[in-house]
Amino acid sequence: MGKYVWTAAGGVLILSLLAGAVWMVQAEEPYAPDQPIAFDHKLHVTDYNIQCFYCHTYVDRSPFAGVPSVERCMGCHLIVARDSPEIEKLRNYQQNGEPVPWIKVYALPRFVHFNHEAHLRAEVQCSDCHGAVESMTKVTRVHDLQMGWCVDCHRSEEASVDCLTCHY
Amino acid sequence: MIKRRDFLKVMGVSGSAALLDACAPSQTEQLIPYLVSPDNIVPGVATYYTTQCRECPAGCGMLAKTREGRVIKAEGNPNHPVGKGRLCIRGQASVQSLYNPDRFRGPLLRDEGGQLRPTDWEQAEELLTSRLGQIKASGDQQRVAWMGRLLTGSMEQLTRRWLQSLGSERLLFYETFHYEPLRRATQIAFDRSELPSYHLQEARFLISFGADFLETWRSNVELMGDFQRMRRARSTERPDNFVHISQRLSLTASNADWWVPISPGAEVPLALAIIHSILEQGLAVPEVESERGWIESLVEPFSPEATQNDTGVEVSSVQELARRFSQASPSLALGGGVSCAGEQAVSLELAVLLLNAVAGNLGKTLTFGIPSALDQLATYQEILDLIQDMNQDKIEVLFLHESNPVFTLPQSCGFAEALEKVPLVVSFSRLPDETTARAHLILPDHHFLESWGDFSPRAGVVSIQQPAMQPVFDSKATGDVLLSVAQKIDGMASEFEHSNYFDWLHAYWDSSIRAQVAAEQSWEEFWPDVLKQGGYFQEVEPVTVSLRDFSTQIRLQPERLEGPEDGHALLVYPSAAFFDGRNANNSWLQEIPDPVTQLVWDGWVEVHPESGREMGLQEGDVVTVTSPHGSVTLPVHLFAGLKAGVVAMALGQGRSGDLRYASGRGDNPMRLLSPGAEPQSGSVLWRSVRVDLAKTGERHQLVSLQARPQDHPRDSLISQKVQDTPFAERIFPSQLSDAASGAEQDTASSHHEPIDFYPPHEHPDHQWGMAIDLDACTGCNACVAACYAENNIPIVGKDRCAQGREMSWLRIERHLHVPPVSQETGLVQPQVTSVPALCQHCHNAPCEPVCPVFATYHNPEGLNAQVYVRCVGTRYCSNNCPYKVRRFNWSASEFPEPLELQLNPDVTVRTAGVMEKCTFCVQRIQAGKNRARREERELGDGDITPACAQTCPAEAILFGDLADPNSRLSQIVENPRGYHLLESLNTRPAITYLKKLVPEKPFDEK
Repeated sequence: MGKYVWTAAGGVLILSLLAGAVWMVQAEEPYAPDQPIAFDHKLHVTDYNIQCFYCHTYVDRSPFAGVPSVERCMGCHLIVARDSPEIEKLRNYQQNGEPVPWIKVYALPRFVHFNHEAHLRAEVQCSDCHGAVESMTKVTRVHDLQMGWCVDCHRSEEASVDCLTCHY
Repeated sequence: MIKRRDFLKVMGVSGSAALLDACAPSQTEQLIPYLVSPDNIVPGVATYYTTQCRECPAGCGMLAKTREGRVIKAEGNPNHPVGKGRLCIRGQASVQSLYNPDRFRGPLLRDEGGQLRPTDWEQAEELLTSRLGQIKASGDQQRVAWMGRLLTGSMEQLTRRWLQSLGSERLLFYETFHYEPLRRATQIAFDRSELPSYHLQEARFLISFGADFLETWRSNVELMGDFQRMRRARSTERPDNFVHISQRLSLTASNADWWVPISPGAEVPLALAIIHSILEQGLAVPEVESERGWIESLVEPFSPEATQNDTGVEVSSVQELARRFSQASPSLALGGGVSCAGEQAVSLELAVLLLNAVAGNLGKTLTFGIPSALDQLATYQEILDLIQDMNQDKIEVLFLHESNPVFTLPQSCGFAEALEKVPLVVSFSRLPDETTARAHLILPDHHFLESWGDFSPRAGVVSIQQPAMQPVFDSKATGDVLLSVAQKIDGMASEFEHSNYFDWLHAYWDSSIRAQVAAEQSWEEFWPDVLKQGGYFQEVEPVTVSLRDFSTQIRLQPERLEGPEDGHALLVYPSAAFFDGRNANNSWLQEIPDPVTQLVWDGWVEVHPESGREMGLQEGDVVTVTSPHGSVTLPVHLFAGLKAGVVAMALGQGRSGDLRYASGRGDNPMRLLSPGAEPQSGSVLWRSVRVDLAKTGERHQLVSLQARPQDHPRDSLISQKVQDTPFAERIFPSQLSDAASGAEQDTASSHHEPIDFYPPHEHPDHQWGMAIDLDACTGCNACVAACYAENNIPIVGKDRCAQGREMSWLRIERHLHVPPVSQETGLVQPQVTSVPALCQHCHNAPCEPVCPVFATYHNPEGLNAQVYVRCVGTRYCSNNCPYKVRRFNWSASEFPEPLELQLNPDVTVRTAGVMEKCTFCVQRIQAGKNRARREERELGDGDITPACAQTCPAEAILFGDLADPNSRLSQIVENPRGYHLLESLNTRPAITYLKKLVPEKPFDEK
């Protein structure tokens, strides 16, 4: 009887290792989802020198950095690059009264309370977590936001590592 | 056979495989921007709007906390004179009435077949317009009537003019609990038809004849605050200064030092006997000397000796009561409330006013000249007249605004039947109720948190009601409906300058308020300030009044009760949570136990245990209660806090229809009352019948969240003889510097020296703690509702409550002992202590070392932390907690749509299988620290207030930092009154309770 158990166990083990391997392969490939509009950070930040805060306006006063409203995008694009097919999409969203359904590149579970404002105050740079967004044509995740990674930084910066700092 | 060890190995491997899968990141979460960023919303940051609570006519100021455009919490507005920043349980729960899942989704019209069908606003208004247009064109007068909740200011003006334009003067403001007998009495005694203002905080001695001012009477939040100010100033010599006289030990009575359980109808003789004794002892103030003749002859037959048999109060006690009441100067006597509104309602109010007059309280604790909005209420007699006109087909259209008269009027008065005679009944109710079930057209109004409005609870206080969010459903403000209809009727549009209610309100505030009180300011200066403050407030000078001879108008015949001679007098009282039933479909209010009985999710009839024994009734026996006017069927709850021979029922349960939280619970006592009106004031005869109780043989489980209905007396643990306590120690939270002076009398000598095997925890920055003054806590449950709202606490329903699986993080442990009536005095000293029980955040927390996964631990700031994602649900912590404050999620919590919109985004919604408990509102601690850092300053004392402390109308809860020796809290915990729950267990809690002070001497001992 024991033999069958071990065969079953072996089978499950191999399957899970395979699953794990598939996942790890996936995880090794940086996460860079296709967005509804191919927004180019490099073009906006590096080429046209628009600061992060101009669009992510809430970052220094709220837990959320915020994404620009469709109106804000159109503020420039009423005039700028009107003929681009991507701007055509943006215009359609505005005309239909729909927000742009951006795909989150960085997502935290609901039981984590991260605060952008507090990190900015502690002089953490945007790039410390988000990488060199200014050189990305398509935003790619550079850190997986696992807790260990957060805690490493909190330790080295002597910030609080108490659970209740983020989990409540 | 698989061996256990093998099984575990297999499970270990496949378990980790499952874990690997779960760790794969979700890749489809969306990030949705605004189309246009609203100016006043920063995502992630709360915006507060000043508004006002309209749950009852008290009109407390309110701040609505919104996140991302939805209201998530209601708090009191500290700038507002009514409530002063506090709310009661119903105010806290108003967010659930906003998101109530049973609210009407839009307008409804009754079709030919008698079914209510959804319609649209255009069609609904069209119907109204054509009907009213005909009435207007015909020139018929008084064919339209309006019966609705109390309105003042712009909405009253609009409604009145709208009705006048339709040829009707019939605007009846109807509130279930009205104060007609008192208003009639002030008319008779002082020639002023207005409710007096009370200044409880000034009083040195208080007698209440049935006025339950801590729960529902007049303005309960304001009065509770004033009551606590009065209590904190009481003298050490004779601290027992509050006597309550009633048939039932209400929440208010349970906070009294002495309770007189009096027979129905003996209140007037007792009040007159006290006056008799004051005169006899020569203690009457000189101001009434000129009136002495008629007063003496009035009270002459009511000597303490002559009334002793009726009242049950011994002569020496009446004399002592008279002496202390008149010598306290100023003292105060309150009278009224539905519990003693019988045939003698006006007489009782007259006697109480006279009592205040002879003790010299007029112009001190009792003033006139500040009219209350309640003065505008229609009398019950006026409603009976309306019913008569309805029956005689004189009313063609009846408007019912935010009231449910079919449920709240005595059923025998025939309102429901009369409704059948009215061709068009229009209701503006938000929720289905007994009245909308008979309406033809339902035009649901906005909730007060969704709409503009104004309300003036009394002269000098005009509150503004701002919409704090977009309407949840397709409702429409009633003011807008009126104006929109007026625009469409020939000859009516020209009479109304504005086409929407917001413009109307603006114009009213500009012309009727700014021009009157701040004419020097421009509108642009005046209006932003009104919105910021929450209204316009000014002091109003009281006027002096003079007493008139009313001896011919006071009814002194004994009160008669209808019904069988051997029956029990029926007492109907307002429910502390449901008021008149309007809040019954609110899940928090159903699940938070009744403050006195501790029962949940039910209706019951209270019977004195002695009467129960005589009738062979046991707890939970279902009985049919029959009066000459009707009958109800209810389970029996044996309750010692009753006058023997009286049975009591709360109004509020027994809602019919399809309400998910309220329907099918208990029964409506209004079925039993007599239809007649009290002749002098035209009020409802609340106390008018005797009832028979007959066993049906069925049993019904009543669920109490307190283990025992009555506790054994326990004086040493939770109370302290007041004579042992120096004056300074009873002041909380002011006058702290003196607090530690009486240390040698310290009952804290029983404190244990901390013993610990391990070194103590270190708290380098903060050590959060709390102090709760049990002498101030009234047990009103406002904090419990605030905790539900703040912390996304789910409700579990009656069955799970019965299993002890309720989820409240904060509960009121009610220790109640009602000793028998003292033979020497005729008084009872109710031993009721309310102990708010929540996580004690122990220094040596028993829950911590037993957690196998380190999900609960002591954090560097002294909090007993609970990490939900780590918790695997062993429940060891709960088993090891001596305070029973940890709650386990036995199932996933449900928030029926749209209740989920109320959830606080700063607090994780817990999943099934996870332990949870009070966090000291850690989200507020984090927010407070963040705010201090943003403002580049140190965190100050008082920067952080948990939801419970924020709302406490008695200001009994103080939160603070024990690591800061100068914090108010650090000084309070040194108070010799302080003790810790179950101190002998060496848990070293962070919460210090201050003992309740109880009188030591019998009442009549000098």
